[in-house]
Amino acid sequence: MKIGSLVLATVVLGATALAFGVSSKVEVGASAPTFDTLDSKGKAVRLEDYKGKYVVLEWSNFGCPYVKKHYNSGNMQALQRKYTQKGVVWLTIFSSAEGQQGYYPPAELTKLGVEKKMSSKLIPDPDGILGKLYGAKNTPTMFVVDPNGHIAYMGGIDDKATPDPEDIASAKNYVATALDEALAGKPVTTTKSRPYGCGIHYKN
Amino acid sequence: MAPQWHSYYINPGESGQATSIKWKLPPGFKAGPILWPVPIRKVIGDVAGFIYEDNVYLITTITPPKNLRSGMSVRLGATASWLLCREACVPQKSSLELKLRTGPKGNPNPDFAKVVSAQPSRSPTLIGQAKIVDKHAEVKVAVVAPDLVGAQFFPADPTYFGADVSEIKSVSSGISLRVPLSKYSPGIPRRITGILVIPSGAAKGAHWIDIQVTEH
Repeated sequence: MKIGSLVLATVVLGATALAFGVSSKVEVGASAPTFDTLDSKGKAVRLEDYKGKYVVLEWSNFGCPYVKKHYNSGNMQALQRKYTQKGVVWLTIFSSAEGQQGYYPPAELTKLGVEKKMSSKLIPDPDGILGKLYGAKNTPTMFVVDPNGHIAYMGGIDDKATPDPEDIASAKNYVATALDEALAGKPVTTTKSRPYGCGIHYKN
Repeated sequence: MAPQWHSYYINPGESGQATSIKWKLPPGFKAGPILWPVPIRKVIGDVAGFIYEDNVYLITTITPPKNLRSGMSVRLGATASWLLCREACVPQKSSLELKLRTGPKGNPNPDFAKVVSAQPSRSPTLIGQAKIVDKHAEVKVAVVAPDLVGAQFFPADPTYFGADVSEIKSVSSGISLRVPLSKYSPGIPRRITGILVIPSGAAKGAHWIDIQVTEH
């Protein structure tokens, strides 16, 4: 009888150094600022690990009516699912400071991610470092980074700056369009648009 | 609005949404755009916006048809939508109706006159030129104002402008503004619109400007 050996591996989540790139000009065509951070489960998330893939950065706040518009309707989750299935890496980032509206402790974020059926990695950013690195001011604000690490799209999710879910169907979704064009090897036609939403509550 | 809550200017800045009004008017009646009063620029935790606090009156000019007769009953309906924020943001909506009776003499509300007088002036004589240089709108306004300490400009088009601070200075021909374009600007605006506040001198007050962009 073969007795398997039981190995207990204790993973220690120590104070891992979180590294962030220098905040160079954030604009379409420029290199996306690098970062080395942790997701809500404590796993490392590094932009350089995603070279060769498209990466979507989605700034979020579940309490914001403009985010609720896209989540209660299932719109955001559908986008996450569609594009992660195509090999796109999707990061949903929460930059509100602890104690401020929009903040959730990492374990809570993981739980909400499951409840909301999100296919993205949830990134707690309570010190606002990642948010300020990318100049994110409101939620939802979106970035698409191409496989060479350049910003292919930045700005709003679509062209209807309202909190009304009824506007989703008739809106032009800039992120989906940019990804569809880029994945088909075509140039992205709309590379930026005004992001709309609630202000991010950065640490003072 | 309750203390610390705020609503937004036509260009809300880096977050928020401007108030909008949908009118339901009798045939022949036309509603103009909202005539925005001077907002405040406020930076809350690194996010800048153009907002209104306390009470704000958003005026709209309703133009009746030429054949309006005396003794008619007129019903004006409006649904206003706005975003109210403090830490959290709450979209709000309100439908209101006003029944008026036409007559030979107007019956102006004295409080209304106060609100109207606080409005930015919309002088067609406030002319100028604008061009886009190095991701900025360079605007010259033909108004002499030697003291511009505390002057402010609130650009109105959120597609092209955020809530950045404009450089405003006095030049021989008037006032020169340098307004940063938003980093999300899709291109070049055709016109520069917004409220210019001149704190002192002969041109003291708030002025709505609407200047065509010529070269770029």
